[in-house]
Amino acid sequence: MYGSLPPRLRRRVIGGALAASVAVSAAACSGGGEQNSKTLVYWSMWKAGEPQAQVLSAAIDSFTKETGVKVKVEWKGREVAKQLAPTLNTRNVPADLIDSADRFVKSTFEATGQGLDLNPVYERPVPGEEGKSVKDVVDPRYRRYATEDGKAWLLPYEVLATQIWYDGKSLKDVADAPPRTWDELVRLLDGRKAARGGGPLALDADVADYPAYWTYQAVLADMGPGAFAAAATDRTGAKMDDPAFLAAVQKIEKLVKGGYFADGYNGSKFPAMQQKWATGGADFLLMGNWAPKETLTSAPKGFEYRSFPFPAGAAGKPVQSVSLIGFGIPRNARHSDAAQRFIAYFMNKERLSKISTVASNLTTRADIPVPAVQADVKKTLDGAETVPDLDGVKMNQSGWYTKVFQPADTDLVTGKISAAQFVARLKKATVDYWKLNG
Amino acid sequence: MAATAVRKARPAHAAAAAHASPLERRRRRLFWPFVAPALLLYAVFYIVPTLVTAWISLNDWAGAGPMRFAGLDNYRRLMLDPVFHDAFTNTLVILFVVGGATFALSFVMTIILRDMAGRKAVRSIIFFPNIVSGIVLSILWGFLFQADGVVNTALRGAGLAHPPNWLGAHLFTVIMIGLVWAQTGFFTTILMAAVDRIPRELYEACDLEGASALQRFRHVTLPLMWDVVGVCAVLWSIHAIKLFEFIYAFAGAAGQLPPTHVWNTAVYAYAEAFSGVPRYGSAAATGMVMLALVAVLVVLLRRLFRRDGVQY
Repeated sequence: MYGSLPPRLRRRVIGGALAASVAVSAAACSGGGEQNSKTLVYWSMWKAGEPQAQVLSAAIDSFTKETGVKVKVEWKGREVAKQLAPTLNTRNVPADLIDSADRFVKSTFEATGQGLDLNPVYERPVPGEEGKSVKDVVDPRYRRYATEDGKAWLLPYEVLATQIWYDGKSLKDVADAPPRTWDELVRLLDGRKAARGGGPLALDADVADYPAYWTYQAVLADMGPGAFAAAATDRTGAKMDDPAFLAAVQKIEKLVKGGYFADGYNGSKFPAMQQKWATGGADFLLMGNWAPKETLTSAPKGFEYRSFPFPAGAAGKPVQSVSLIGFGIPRNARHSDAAQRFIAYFMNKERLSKISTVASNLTTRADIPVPAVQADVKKTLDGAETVPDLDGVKMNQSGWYTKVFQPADTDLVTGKISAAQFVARLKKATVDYWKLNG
Repeated sequence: MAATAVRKARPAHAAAAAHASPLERRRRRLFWPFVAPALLLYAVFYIVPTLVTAWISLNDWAGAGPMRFAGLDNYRRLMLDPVFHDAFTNTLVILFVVGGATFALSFVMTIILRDMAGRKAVRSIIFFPNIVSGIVLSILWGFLFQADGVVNTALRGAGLAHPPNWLGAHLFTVIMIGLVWAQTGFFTTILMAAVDRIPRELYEACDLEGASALQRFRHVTLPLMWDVVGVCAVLWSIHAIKLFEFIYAFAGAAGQLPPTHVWNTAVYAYAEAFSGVPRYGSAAATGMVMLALVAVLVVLLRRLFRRDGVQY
């Protein structure tokens, strides 16, 4: 058939085929993380223009300048891991490096066995910091958090932590002496409720995680780290028979029935209530340390972002829940060596500091000064035990969290059911869930 | 014996071809060149993915890594999962209640618009929700119905001290109202196009007979647009079953899933595939259930709307 082609065209066809086969073999050679790659494809959870994207972008530019490795970055946004997931089983995984929230990296890489073990990254020297490797600079607490069965599944660079936020300018008394126990918190809320003639707590209850924070934090404070996860995974539901569990939930019931939540909290669209808080319509907001960033444009001039941890309960010790944002590398990444080099490069103090100075967030390096809006969070982190947010349940038992816990919890926090009804419903639904999914 | 039958059939077929007119023969030669590309595309983009989905539904699979054959286990779990029951019920409620309200409203609009001055402008206005993205509509719906939203402000202004907690207590109802609002213009526009084709003299005859607007609709308009109503019913059924973005964007917030009591089967499938560790097997099984539902409905609707064509 090809014999009928004109000679010029035939030469082109043969030449094209040869070029294609050379390209294919080159691609095959570069598979499996060839050493000294000169290119790298990076998919990021940030959108172009976001402060973190600006910080990473500057680091990418200097990385390319110093190493000659070209980084093709795509600012994919928060769904980055979901976008990458369908490609992980193929020969051509399109990204060599991603960054994302911990739970997305874990579900995409860890649960499927498609993530690279990042322990070797911890052994890499940090460029520009002589004698220091990545393991010397990352707070060991966060390394432990992002390691399972000895395998590091995430290299974290940013820390998220849930606290109760308020305006330090208008609530100077709170800034001077934040409540440390549940009773102190309730006394404070009583005072604020009387002063403003309405509920002082802002809550966007339509974002199911936010009412979940209240219930989880109460259980954590009373029963300690791991109790919530133990209840979630208890096939018999017996853990929910513990009177301490009901007592913790009753604290939330008291807040609901006592009218401590601001009007409209159970019938608004996010971010109406957090904006209401930022504009003075409520005093307190239980939220991750992204609260300042999300409300900055609504807050009046001079708003002073301050926060205190959820007060200690029956467990009696200060505990701070955290989640992480960090890097992950697909197991079949073609340029995993370059991806690892970039991670080590970015963890350099000067470069990572910009997450603090430019993006106003907390980093995973203990030696980086924190921005003013995160100072209270950092103070808590320094003195408290850290636990994975929601005991890691949202990450590890997402089916139970979404289908069993959240519906019952939202009903509790929005006043549709009592604490006793909540516990009974949760227990029954948990037993049914594990019967079906165990 | 089969071979004999084939041998016998061949000359008969050849003879038939030989007796066909030249136009017929040319048509036959052109059949495959014309049909093959469409068939190929259909096979590649519809049949093959459907078969792959059916296969995935028989496995446990996280989207990457190994697949584990699970037989009908995903279907068994769907049948026993209370959240799926709610989602399936919601899908049927959307299909029949929202569909019924949408069609009833569309018929009323058709009756009103037929004789109305400026109906073209009105038609454009009521079609408007279809041009705007579902995400934008959902944001608008949030502004309207939240605690301090436009609707409650108006109700308070009208003297109602305690207006309903729309999003807290009646979320699914608000979603249904939104769907009726968004869909009515679309179906009214299609039905009006059918009404425009009906000869005016039939309505003039009605006027001479003294028929009311409702009688005109029942005896002239509806019978003569019956085929189009059938097409609309099929379109709505397919749309209602795979409806996703309005519920997801309106009832979900900050990138999170909506509360489970307002999920339909499409949201359920999405949640299985994209919340936490992906369960593509379960999501695919949900997709197959939706496909079966569409197939049954389309067959039933075609039977319901089948009748001899009316020439006019």
